[in-house]
Formats: sequence, structure tokens, C-alpha cells
Amino acid sequence: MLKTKLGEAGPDGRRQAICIENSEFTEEFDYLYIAVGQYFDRSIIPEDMMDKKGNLIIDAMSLQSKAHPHIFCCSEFYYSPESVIEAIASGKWAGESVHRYLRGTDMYAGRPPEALTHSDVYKGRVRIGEVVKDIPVERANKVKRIPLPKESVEARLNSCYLEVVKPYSEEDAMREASRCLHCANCGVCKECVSACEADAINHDQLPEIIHDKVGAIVVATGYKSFDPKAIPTYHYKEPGYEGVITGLEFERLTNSAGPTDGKIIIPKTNKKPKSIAFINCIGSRDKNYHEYCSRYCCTASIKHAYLMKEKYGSDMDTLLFYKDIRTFGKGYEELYNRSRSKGVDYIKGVPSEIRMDVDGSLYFDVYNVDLEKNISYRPDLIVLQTAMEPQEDAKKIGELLSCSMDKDGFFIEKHIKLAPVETASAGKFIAGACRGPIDITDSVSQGYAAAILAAKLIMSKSIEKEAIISEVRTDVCSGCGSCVSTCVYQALSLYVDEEGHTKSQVNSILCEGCGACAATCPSNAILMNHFTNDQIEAMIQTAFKETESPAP
Amino acid sequence: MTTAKTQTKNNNQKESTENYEPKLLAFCCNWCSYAGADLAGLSRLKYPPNIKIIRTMCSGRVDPQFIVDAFDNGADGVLIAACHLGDCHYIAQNYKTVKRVALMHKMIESYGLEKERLRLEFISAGEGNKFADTVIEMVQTLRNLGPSKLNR
Repeated sequence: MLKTKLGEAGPDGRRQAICIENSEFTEEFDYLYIAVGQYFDRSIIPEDMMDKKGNLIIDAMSLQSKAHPHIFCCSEFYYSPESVIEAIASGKWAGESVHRYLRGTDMYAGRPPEALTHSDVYKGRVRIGEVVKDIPVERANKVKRIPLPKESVEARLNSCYLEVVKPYSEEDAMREASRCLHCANCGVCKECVSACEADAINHDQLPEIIHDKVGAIVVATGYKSFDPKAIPTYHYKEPGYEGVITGLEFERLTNSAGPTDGKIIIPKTNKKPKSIAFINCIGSRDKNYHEYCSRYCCTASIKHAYLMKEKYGSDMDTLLFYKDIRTFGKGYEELYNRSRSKGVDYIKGVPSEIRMDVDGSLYFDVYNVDLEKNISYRPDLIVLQTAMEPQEDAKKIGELLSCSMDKDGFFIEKHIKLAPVETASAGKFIAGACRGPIDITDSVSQGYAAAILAAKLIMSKSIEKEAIISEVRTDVCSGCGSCVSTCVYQALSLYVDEEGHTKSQVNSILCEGCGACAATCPSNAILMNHFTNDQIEAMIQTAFKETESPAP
Repeated sequence: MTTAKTQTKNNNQKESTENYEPKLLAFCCNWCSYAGADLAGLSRLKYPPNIKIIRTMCSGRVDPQFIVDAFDNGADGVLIAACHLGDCHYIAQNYKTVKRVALMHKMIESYGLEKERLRLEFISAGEGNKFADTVIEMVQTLRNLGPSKLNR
């Protein structure tokens, strides 16, 4: 060992340790811990960026190199080793500088003075580019904030490796979360509670996570309506284009409990439209968006147009633009014929861009195949019948439940004709629009079908297991345990037989028969009941054998 | 003398390269890729007939021994088609396939076979297109590589 003393304070206020000469002495230890420091790799830094001591020459406020204005430094490259949070803060700080540098704006405008940057940026008092003066007052809530528990001094004296600040217990964490104010729009006057005859309203309800064990799962997560904003030529939701609405919005307009009490109006002028154009296949049957047919749109448009004709007769022109009319299903074709006889105008063609005239009216052109020319239409209200899309989080659900999905993102059934609501994994069923575009009638039938299959599964006293499971040849098994760690179902375990040898065994109920254990076993001691090694080997051996009579 | 010998060998090789049809053996997972291959057929997609498919319940069932035996029995390339990571029917067995294939790449290289002869591809039941494209690509790769060293 060697003794040291503190030297003179340097420019940064730090005193360096200096070794005292001839101060060597010997000491005995039970344990020796070496505290290894950290330092960054300087090999990538240009030499003219460092001073003699190896410190970086940098503008402290913008973290920009003075010699190389395109280099910015942050975290331990500039400061001495600090915490992760501090490193992130300085990274953000440097990021802001890079942004300003690329934009060519002032590197210093609006940023706190240099003295603040070092410590305060880390303490969260400074956000990127601005000093936060008003620290938010603690929310007015009767429940007090629960302080984080700390390890007792006695315990810490006994062992210096204990974490001082401990996390909340589960109860405390939930109580802490209950301080949320749920600041929704409702004023919580609770008049609705007394008005509701069914006693269905509960203001004190909180979201809760329910853990439950189930024997079957029916996935019926439905669909999402295609957002016509994706097609820029239709100008949906753009200012001035309020006359362009979707089919679902039109459905609400016609509803007597809707926003206009069932009156049909043009959202822009609040006047009754004289002509309505329904445009089908928005986002579906379109290679740019979805190739599939959404199935429901033709009938929905026809229903809307028919309703308008029935209500307003010749006071309102109803134009229906279509690619093909697909009115499959019971009674739909009859509806189509009735709507034609009522005077709905059917025009085959895809409308051009919806344009705005100087007076604010909307118009578009459609190429008429029969007349071989473009015809301009100027409807008061334009209804876009949008495609059905998979839900945004369908992929997440699919991964969670291991339901495979097709290229469009809809769940795949076990068999397209013979098992339409079952999936490849046992006990999971799909119904409705999550497995593909569908109308209400079919969706209801699938719901019934899935429910009855799920019920059949959980009500029966015995379950059918696939015969494809693995088997251990105990005479060959060396009990190495490779298979145990391979099995994701914990179907394999080790045991000691009468002779004292460790062997592996299979739980035939848990085993799903994937065969990964058979592939892993170094001594080929695991056999599959189907897809046996011998069968697969035989296939491999004959796959490329020259035969006199080639396979048909 | 040596040159003449090499030339003969080259000629032989050339001859065999001229009539060379790559032999590709595929191990398809029952739940994803096998259904994907089925979909490729249902969709009437075209892909070379050089492929022979062996169905396994899971890509994790593919024993390294099978791969070695496949090359030994005349395959010029081996394709292992698995579920996408995270989509495995058997929770996570395709991750084991990923590890195994990485190992097998090293192993077949030590046999003097090109790494490209063994390929792992993730093909879901909905990706008939991807299956066909993978086969087309791989057969082309094998064409460029020429016959496997073990078949020459």
C-alpha cells in the first residue's frame, strides 16, 4: 500500500491526490474489491479537439466543438461520468444544438445561461431550450402522496449493499395511482345516476385488471373504418370540403337520435342537400390501398340511397358511383332492384379528384364508359363508403394469442370452408370482422358458431388431445436435461429411476408435439409418435433419388 | 500433367453444370410455412419445381442431423421455413431454430459448402407470395453456386 495526500486545488476546484514518497506499508485483508473506473474511448476524437490534458474543447452552452462545428459532444464525452438520466439530458441538449445548427438558427437564443446548463439541466428544471419557471403545484387531492419507503438504518448498518430507497408495495402503488383526477369532460353532477332507470351508471368505477383463467377464447375484435384522408384527392376533413363525409357519418345523420335528429343537412351550410353522391369502394378493391372487397359497402350505399329516395322522392337526386354492384345475400338484390325503380341513379365509374369551385360548391368528373366522355357532377353532399380494415392493434392481439394473420392483417381460420371460426391453435376461435370483411348477418352467425364451439370445449368432461407427442427411450436417455430447457410447455422433467440413474420423462398431457426436444436430444433418446426420425430420414433419402417412374 | 487433369475436371464440372438442376429440400412448419406453400399453390403462383417439401410440426423439429443428411443425400440447398418470430405455434421454438441454423451455417462451411445453401426464412400462412419468391430466389442462388460439392 501507499499513502497519499491532497494537492493544491486545480482550476475546477478539485484537489488531486499525490503519492507520498517512501510511505509503503503492508496490510492484510479478508476481501479485496477493485473499483474499476470508466472512461470513454478517445480514439475516434480528432486530436485538435482535445487540450493537453485530454479534455475536450467544447462550447459549454451548445456542446458544440470549437474546432469542428459539425461535432457535438454529450454525456461522458464531455462531463465526468454521471448517471444515465444525466447522460440522456445532455444528449437531448446536444440534440437541440444539432437541430439548431442544421436549421442555421441561433445556437444560444432562448437557452438558459451557461451557469445553469451543467447542473440544472439534469435536475429537470430546464427543458430543451427553455427554463421552466412555474413548477406545477401538486394536484389538489385529499389523498396525500405516499413517500417511498426506505431501508432502516439498522439494516443498512448490517449490510451496506442494501438498496436505500425501496419501491412501493402493491397496495401503496395502487393507492398512489388512485390520486389520478380522471379529469374527463363530465362535471360529475351525478344527475344521470338518478335519471337512469336501469341503474346502469356508476361514477366510482375505476379501471381494474381482472385476472381470470379461461378454457376458451373467442376473438371478436372487429374492424376499423378506412380513413379517407389517406386518399388526398377526396380532400376528406379539409377546410371547405365539409360536404365530403363517410358512410358511417351519413348513417349518424339519418339516425333520429343523431346530431341533427335525423335531418339530412350539408355540414357546411346546414341546408338540406338537393343531390347526394354515394361513392363506393373507397380504399377497397384498389391496389393502392386494399385489394379485397369490403362486402358491406354496396348494400349500405343502396340502403342509404333508397332511404333518401323514399323520404324525399324527386326533391333529392341520389347518385351512386360504383365499380361493380355486389349485392350478394338474402334480399339484397331485391333491395337493389327496388332502389332502381325508385329512381336512384347508378353510374359506373370512379370519380376524379373532388374539386372546389369559386362559389365553394364541390364537383368531380366521372368517365362514362357508354358515352365515352367525362361527365361533371356537382352534388351537395358526397358520401364516401369506406373499406373495412383490421384493427390497429390486431397484430398485437394475434401475437398474444398466437393467431396467424393473412397479408391484409385479418386473422386466419383453420380451414376456409370447413372450420371457418376455428384457429390453428386449440381453444381459440375467431368471429366477425376480425377475420375478414363481413356484414352483420354473417357476423352474428359466426358469433353464435364460435360461442357454441367454445361452450362445447369447456362443457365437455374430456378433451381430445392430438396423438403427436414425444416419448423418451429411457434405455438410451443419459439424463443430460437438454430437452428440459428446450420445452416451452414444461412437459419434460428429470427423475431418478430405481437404479439411481437420472432420466427424462414426458408429461403426455402437457406435451403439444412440436418435436423440438427430439431435435435437441444429443443421444436421439426422444422419439416422436408421428413425424418420427425414421419417417423424416426416409423422406430425405428418397427426395432426390433417381427413380424410373417419376412422381406424377 | 496437373493442368490437363484440372482441365478434365473442369470439363466434367462444366458438363454437370450444363444439365444442372438445383435440388432444394425444404422443411416447412405445419402451421405457417406449410400453409403458406399451400396458399402459393391455391393462388396459382409459379415457382420452380426444384423444391421438395418435408412437413414438420415445427421448425424446431428440424434436427441438425436432417440438414446434414439432406446434403448427404444429394440436396444442393436446404430451406427451413418457420413462423415469424413471436408467432410460433409452439410459443418460442422457432427461436431455437434460429440458433441452430446459425450453428449449422458454421458447420456446413467447415464441410466446404457455401453458407447460402442453407437458408432460414420466416413465412406465415398468409404469405404465399413470399414462399414462391423465396423458392425462386433460392433456386437462382443455387444455380449461381453450381452443384453442391458433395454432388460433383
